[in-house]
Amino acid sequence: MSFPDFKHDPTELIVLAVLSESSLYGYAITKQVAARSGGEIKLSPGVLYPLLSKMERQGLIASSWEVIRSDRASNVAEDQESGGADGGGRRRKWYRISAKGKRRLAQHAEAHRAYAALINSFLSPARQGDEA
Amino acid sequence: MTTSPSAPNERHKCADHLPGEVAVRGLANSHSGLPTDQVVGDWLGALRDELRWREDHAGSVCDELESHIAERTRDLVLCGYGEEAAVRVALDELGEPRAMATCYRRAQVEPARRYVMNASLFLLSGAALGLSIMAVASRPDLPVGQPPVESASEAIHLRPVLDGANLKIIVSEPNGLVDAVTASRLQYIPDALTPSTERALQRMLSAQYLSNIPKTDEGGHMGIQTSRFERPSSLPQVIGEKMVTLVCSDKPLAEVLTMLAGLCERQVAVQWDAINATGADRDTPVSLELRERSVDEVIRAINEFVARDSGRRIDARAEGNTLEFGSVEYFDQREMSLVSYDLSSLNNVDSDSLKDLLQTFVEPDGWKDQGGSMAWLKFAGPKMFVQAPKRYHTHIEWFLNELQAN
Repeated sequence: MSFPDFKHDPTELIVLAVLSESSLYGYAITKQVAARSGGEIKLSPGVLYPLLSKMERQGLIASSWEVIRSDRASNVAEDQESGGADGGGRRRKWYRISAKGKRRLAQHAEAHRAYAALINSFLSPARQGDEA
Repeated sequence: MTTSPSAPNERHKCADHLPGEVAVRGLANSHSGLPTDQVVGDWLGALRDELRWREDHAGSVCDELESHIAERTRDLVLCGYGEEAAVRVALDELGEPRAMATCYRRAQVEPARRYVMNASLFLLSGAALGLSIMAVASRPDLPVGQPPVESASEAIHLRPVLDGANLKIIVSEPNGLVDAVTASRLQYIPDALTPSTERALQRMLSAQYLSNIPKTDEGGHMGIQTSRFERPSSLPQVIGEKMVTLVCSDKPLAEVLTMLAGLCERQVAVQWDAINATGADRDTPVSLELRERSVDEVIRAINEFVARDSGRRIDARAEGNTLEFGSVEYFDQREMSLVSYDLSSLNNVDSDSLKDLLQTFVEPDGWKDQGGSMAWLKFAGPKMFVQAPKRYHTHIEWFLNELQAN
């Protein structure tokens, strides 16, 4: 008997699943995951951001940058005076799933379903005739 | 499930205390008096040093985390945290720079066993090799050379809305992104949002994050001064701001309170009848993982468990060598006092408007003439008489000082 490959961290599945629905940036991913899990799953920054970096390097996701002009109005004049590299805004990194990421997500989902079905088989009511 | 580096059995173990971490431990908590921008900058600088990567690569990491800190801080402020506390929480959630750098470096290294597994697959299946080659060839390049997308304008807009019993702050960005934050830590949640209440809430949330402060043609502000009420701790500063570490899992509340008193080097006294009235009891399970946090924060965290269903919180007082715990209501009754306020210096405020202002923002559920059970407010000539718990008076004094400043 062989078990499906369960070595994959569910975090990767969760992140791919969320990104398969829409492009998001890191902090938004944590909020989306928390909201959809009713607060049961919390992706801490120390887990999420290195994982996003790894997934990007593996080609599962791609990224692009957005410049956010400072929403703290008092900082706008300061950034302009100091000649910030991007003209006075911080940068937000958006992620989107790639074709490879979609394939990986499908593999994860299939493995998860197979595992769930396997466990469920042990939780089914005993077959008739087996009861004492 | 909490995929947090500090959670037990977490495979990444990125928050393990590493040798040599003492130098940066408490970085987020050692910033008393420092501007929050400097605190964040110091943290990011420490991360950059720990990563020891090419400048452009390390810079991207820092930019991303800086954006995370800014948005997390914004959400915490909207929830009701002060800015300094919000930055501290945001940085605490990131952990120590060295631990974060370790997580990043581990994420960049392919485990040796993965190469062995892939090699085995290549030998067993030519299709796997072909797929891998195709995957490598089709990996999208990082858009380093692409010009960044700029936001259309410079402002975000905040709008408070009521969602049942919760007050949500809708945050709208110029790029069309809309987010919602539950203002769970605000002391006052109105029953209804009138235009004046909405404006008052927007001012109260945080002037630094409002976008609708009009600018002059020169790009500066119109000189609108803002002031935020910071509720003082019920404990002396030497105790309330004492940094402690408290880690427990499903520990009975009685033990947790005893532990906390011990960390404060105080004897413990607990008014259990009062605490039982909050719905909690000696055996209420409490799980905490708080490292180098102030005692005030620890008590707030304990209330997450105590007040979860009832909304009624416990509080603490320090008397001599004893740290006493009871319910907020218990201490309110004990600290009731009658105070007269001389309003003769408030020229442009009529008594009806003042009463409306105070009873809207100062514990609105506590006023007896509004159905509450705690406080009275009456006017006689130029004086206002208020019989209320001590913490009401602190809030009232702030309002009167703000009105007097005008």
